[in-house]
Amino acid sequence: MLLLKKLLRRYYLSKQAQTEEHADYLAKVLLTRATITLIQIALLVGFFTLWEFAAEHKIVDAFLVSRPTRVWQTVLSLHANGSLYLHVGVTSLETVIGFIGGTVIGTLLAAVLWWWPNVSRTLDPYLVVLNSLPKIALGPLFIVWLGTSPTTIVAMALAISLITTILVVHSGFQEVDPLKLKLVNSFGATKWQAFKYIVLPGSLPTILSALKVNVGLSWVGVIVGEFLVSRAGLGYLAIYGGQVLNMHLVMTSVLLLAVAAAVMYQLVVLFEKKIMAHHQ
Amino acid sequence: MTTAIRLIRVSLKYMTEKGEVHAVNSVDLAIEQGEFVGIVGPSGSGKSTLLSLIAGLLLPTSGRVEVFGQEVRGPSSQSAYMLQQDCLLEWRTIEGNALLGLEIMGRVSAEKRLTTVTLLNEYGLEEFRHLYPRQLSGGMRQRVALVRTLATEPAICLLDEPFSALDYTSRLTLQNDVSTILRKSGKTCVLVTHDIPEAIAMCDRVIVLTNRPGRVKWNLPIELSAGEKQPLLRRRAPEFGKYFNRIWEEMELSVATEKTS
Repeated sequence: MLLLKKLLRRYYLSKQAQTEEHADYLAKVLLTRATITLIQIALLVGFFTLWEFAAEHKIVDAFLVSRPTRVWQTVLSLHANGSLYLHVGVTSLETVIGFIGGTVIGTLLAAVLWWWPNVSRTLDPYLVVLNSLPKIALGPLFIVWLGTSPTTIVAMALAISLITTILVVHSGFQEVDPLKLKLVNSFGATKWQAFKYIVLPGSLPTILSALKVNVGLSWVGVIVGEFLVSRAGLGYLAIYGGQVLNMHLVMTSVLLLAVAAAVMYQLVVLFEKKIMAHHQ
Repeated sequence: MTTAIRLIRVSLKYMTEKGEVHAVNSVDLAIEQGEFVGIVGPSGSGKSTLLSLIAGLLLPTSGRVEVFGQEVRGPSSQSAYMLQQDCLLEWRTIEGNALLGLEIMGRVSAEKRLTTVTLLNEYGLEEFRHLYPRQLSGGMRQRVALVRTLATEPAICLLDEPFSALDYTSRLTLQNDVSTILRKSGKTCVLVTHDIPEAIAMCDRVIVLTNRPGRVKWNLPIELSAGEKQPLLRRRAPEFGKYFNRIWEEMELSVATEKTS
């Protein structure tokens, strides 16, 4: 460790370091960062190694908790028969439709409430009740109304994210700087112009953070929807695996789900950064 | 001289559940074209309300507001605001911000765009045209706000404590710049401020309002022997302190009567 630090220090001295102390500092910063990354990787590898080891030596029952090698085999066989991409694709698509739909429709309805404040005041108690209602309870209704189709699953995802989006975005609309509104009004702006020039762009950070929350909510809605009705998707795979007591399949779906959800969240964060580049 | 702004027995009241609130009460006021007038008064005396009435953002409950002889019935392109904060839109470039008023009025043309860019150049903002507001200092941002105000070519500029959010040094510099620019353009200006020295340094005339409901209490022409129009130089005039004391005493009186009543 000490040798490494010395080497780094010499490297920085030959590069951007201004003084010896600065080189020490730069070396320390890099070492800390590297250590954290190493421990993060070690945790991941350690977890799977321990899991595999415990299953191998019968410390845990691999029939109940599966094991990494079997999960990997399951992934490979799903890949071989092509259904891996079907399941991941179906679930991801439903989720994307769910969170984009939830955000867009929620923002539109919030705009309606902003446009007619008395409508908002009238509907307020109902929105509060709907917001506190556990939306999953609506599942049976959607099955009857919409049938056992992907529409039901998307409806589930929308139901979960829509009301909170309306409430959050509407309060964002109301928090827009009144001085900015005064400014555009002094230029004779119409209500639509005030919305277009000030309220909507001014609330973009709120809308984007609602979008991020909706990604998570949409996954919940989609998986619950798939538990209830579907013939394809990771939720279906998990529930099917559970029914036939194939824990390898359940674990595989859960892990695939974790990866897909993380990837999607990062994509949304990237999108947010791009949009917000000039927004502070 | 033509009268640019005339208020005739202008009152504004609004209702709350507790009762009626009189914001301003029977204000008579005339401001000549090209005049630079300051309005001072205790907090809540309706200074900003008067500006909103002149701008047409509020309509009087009784009385009449005229701008160049025409009754004000809503916001018009004849008057433009400078507000407490620069109110630049973070998501628009400096040029985009400067063009905001014209865009809302639907008056953007190649020619107007050019005039606006020329204004930006004049105030030393040419190299920042394509940058965003957060990349600029407070003083420069307020200068962009001034260009945005002037771009719509208003005859009247309404300044609602435009420097109150700035630090002391930028405030003095900007008072000087804004005053010089506006006087050169020959526009009629009304400045509302808490800052008495600011009003004396920038204005030809200072109007002192009473406590709520605001009425015109006192109309004080400022004549400084220096004969200068630049606020920084005007501050050095020997009578500056006297004006300050007189206005201060008037305002103290207003506050004192409020406390006893």
